[in-house]
Amino acid sequence: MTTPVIRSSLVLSRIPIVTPDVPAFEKAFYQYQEQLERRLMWTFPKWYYFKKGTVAEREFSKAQKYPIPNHRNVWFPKGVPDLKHGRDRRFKQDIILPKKNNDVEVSTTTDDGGESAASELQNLDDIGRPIKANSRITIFDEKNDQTSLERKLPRTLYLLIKNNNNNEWTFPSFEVSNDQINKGLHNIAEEGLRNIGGDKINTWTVSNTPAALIKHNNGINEFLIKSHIIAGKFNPTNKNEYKWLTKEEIQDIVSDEYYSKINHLLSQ
Amino acid sequence: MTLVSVRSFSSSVSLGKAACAQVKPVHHKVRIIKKNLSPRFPELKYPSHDIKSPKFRPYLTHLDRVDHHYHNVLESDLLLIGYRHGQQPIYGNKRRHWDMSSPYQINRPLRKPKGQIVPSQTINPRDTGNIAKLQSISINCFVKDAKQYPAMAIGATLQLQQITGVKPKPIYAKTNVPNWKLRPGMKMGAKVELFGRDASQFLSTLTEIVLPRIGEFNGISNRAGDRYGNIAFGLTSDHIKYFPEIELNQDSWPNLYGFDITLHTTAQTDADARILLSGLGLPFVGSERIPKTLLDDLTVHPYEN
Amino acid sequence: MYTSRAAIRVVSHVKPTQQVRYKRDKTGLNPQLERIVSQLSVMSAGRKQPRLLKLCNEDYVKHKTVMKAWSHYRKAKIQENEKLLQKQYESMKEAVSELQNLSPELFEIANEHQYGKRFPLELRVPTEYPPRQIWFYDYFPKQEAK
Repeated sequence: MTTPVIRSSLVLSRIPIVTPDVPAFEKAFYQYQEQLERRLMWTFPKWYYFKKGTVAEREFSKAQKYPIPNHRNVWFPKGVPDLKHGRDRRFKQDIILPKKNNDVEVSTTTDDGGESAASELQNLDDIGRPIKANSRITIFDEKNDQTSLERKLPRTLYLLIKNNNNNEWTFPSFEVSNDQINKGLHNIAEEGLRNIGGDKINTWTVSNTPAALIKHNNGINEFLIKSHIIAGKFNPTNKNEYKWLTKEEIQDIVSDEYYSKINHLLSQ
Repeated sequence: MTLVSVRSFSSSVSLGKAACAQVKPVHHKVRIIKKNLSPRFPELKYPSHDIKSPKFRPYLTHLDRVDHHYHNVLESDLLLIGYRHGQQPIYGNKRRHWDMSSPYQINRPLRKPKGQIVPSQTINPRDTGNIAKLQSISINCFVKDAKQYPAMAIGATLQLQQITGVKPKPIYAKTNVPNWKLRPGMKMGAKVELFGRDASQFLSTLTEIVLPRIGEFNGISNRAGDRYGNIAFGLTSDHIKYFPEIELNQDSWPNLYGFDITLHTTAQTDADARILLSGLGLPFVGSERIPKTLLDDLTVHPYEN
Repeated sequence: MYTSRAAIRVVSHVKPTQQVRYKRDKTGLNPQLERIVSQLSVMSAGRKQPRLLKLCNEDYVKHKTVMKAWSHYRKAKIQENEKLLQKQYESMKEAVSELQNLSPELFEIANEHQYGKRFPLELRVPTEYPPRQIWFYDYFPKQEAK
């Protein structure tokens, strides 16, 4: 009887770079809670942050919208206002920050997309430049370039490789020969990855322990080692096809049998 | 005329009683909560999570990104890191039974554990039920000079409130040291315990803004910890100025107050807690000491008691 | 802005002015005292608290419904997560016990304790928006000392 063949595979993942897309229900709930929180907040202590008689205090006070105070001879259809420190205690307080000069620039530059990006690059050294958030959707998302690490930022991506023999997509898998046994499964998988994808890649093996075992029909035992990519790039030397895919995309591309063995390892 | 003994709540002494009652009075045990008896302020009777209560404060106001990262990435990784095939429980030193050689031992409380005063905990094999998690962060700000200048305790309290966004509690001196002119009851600073989103917010400010800018900070010492998975470290008054809430309002802060931060985790040992905290973005330095009993967790230890 | 009572209470906290009897004049407090008063006023609820929420019955029922829906949603999510973790645990258990049968040498290495393991700082908690440089490609492995 021949000894069973052991293979060590690497589940290499790129963890999410941005926070997940919040579902509509959660978004609505968070908004409701936030409104409640704002309503129940204490009045902003203006006198602590803006010293009396300073320019900053005057500008801040000018920007605020003050509610109408109570008056004896005035009828208020929506109830009598209850003002304390310039805030109607029945409602939430809106704090309006005075506009600065560079805030005006924001509204003008956002109208034309291409130029604003160019001008942004120029004054990166300027600390007072307006704050502008980068897009959560990258150009690689638009091109749907599945070999890029810069796509699907809110999701975990996994490295899959096309097997040349049977044209099936799997995790990179490496045979464990007898002379390699003293290295351990995790080192064999990491070295194998560098053999097929170049050594300009920085990964972090989660543990020496395999996360799962796939028993193939032909007697091969495939152990899965978890690892995260930190920096660098998978750059196949022998023109192997590879893809960085999310959980759902993996389900579409791999065989059902293979997916049922690995689906619990894949995170959102 | 015969005396009828009526058990009343107002007095325990009845006339004509020959001896004291064996039955303990009930009314000493029932705690009376006056707000439940009075009809005057009905809203005080609601629990604090009820929207009708004056204590109600909504806290689920946004997605907790630290918590999401923990559940999405760290939790399953920690499970894999902690897994050891055939791991056995390491029993702690528990209180011992008396050998009953003397009748005086009958109603005694249990004996102290062997060689120590407080019993130590049992360390169970790691599985899905006991993955380490950050439970809370407590910040303790003790100002030495507050005994001389009591206003400093007020400043320290406000500083904590500004940084964390949670109302701190005052701390008082406990001991009497006549040489230092320290008396019990003097207000010496403030403390605050953060949970949930407040803790996440504080942790991200700490790991993303404050700690990277402190030049001499290389990491938390690998020797820090209280053996039960709680790691503590301190920030001096020079480091506090890097908190954005302080930095943008420097005129109001002529003097700042350093504080101690304790990270409470559900980890069973400090070594496990350090692995978790490194995943949350806290660096560690120095050599780590693992107790021998922890390394020897594959052999079966008998349970002694 | 502040009540005189609060100011008097503050005076007792400060040693240098402890003996001086407080009297409010037109020039106001000295700057040191003023800072303490404003610090206390930030922390205290006086005149800063909003009115209590008064919900009509319908709004109260609505609120209860929202919270109930949220707790069901959260509970389902937590249970799903627990199930997933249990599955992962079972699978690693099965893998390691099978490895023990197949190759004791590999098992010894796979079952080493992992104390001292640290997550690299580069694995950061996700932020709401990506950084300017999303991925660092120009990585070179460190040359080992000869």
